[in-house]
Amino acid sequence: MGAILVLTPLVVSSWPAITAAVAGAATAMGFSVAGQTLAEPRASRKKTVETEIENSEIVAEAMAPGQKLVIQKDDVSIAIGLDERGACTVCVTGSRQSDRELRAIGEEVTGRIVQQFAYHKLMTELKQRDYRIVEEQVLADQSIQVRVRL
Amino acid sequence: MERPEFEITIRKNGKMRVHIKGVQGERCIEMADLIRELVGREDERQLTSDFYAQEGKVRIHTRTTG
Repeated sequence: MGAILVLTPLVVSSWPAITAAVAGAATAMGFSVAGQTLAEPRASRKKTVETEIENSEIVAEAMAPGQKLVIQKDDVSIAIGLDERGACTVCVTGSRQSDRELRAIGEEVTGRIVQQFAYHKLMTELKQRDYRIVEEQVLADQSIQVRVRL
Repeated sequence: MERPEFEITIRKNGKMRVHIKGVQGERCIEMADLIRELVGREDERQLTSDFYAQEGKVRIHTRTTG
């Protein structure tokens, strides 16, 4: 009925909004937020793989240069920050995983950050337009499904 | 009349599918455009059969005999 749209969210926002999405993604994936750092800790035996969130741009006004948000689970730590172009970077470090495994973890985390960001942004905007959530659930494949009505 | 409704599914890779229900014609297009503006890049749009329904216009054919 009506129309069906398929969309790719653009992650363009301030650092606080990005950190909220990262915290949501971390919780959903069993990571804990280790804190915000200015220098990235690197251990000699650990491997690091870096990726970035596609279509992202952070408005860096409320952000110190080099600032990162670090999330952690077991021996894997992930630092989310900003590169010189303004894109959001995701740096995955671990000692027991292969590069391929670290990259897969990084891609899953970036997907979840985009998922959380898009969810919060869309819900906030629709509520401001007097829409209300009538049903909300997390599906078996970890998709978030929401029904919103005017 | 059915109320306008969005059924939003956000996959774990961030991709989003929005099914707009209960609205036809121009209004449906406006709502689809609103979602695109709020979310980002539109990859695909399908208009479903109800889109073509004429909201509020019903033609009744009657025949009188006798």
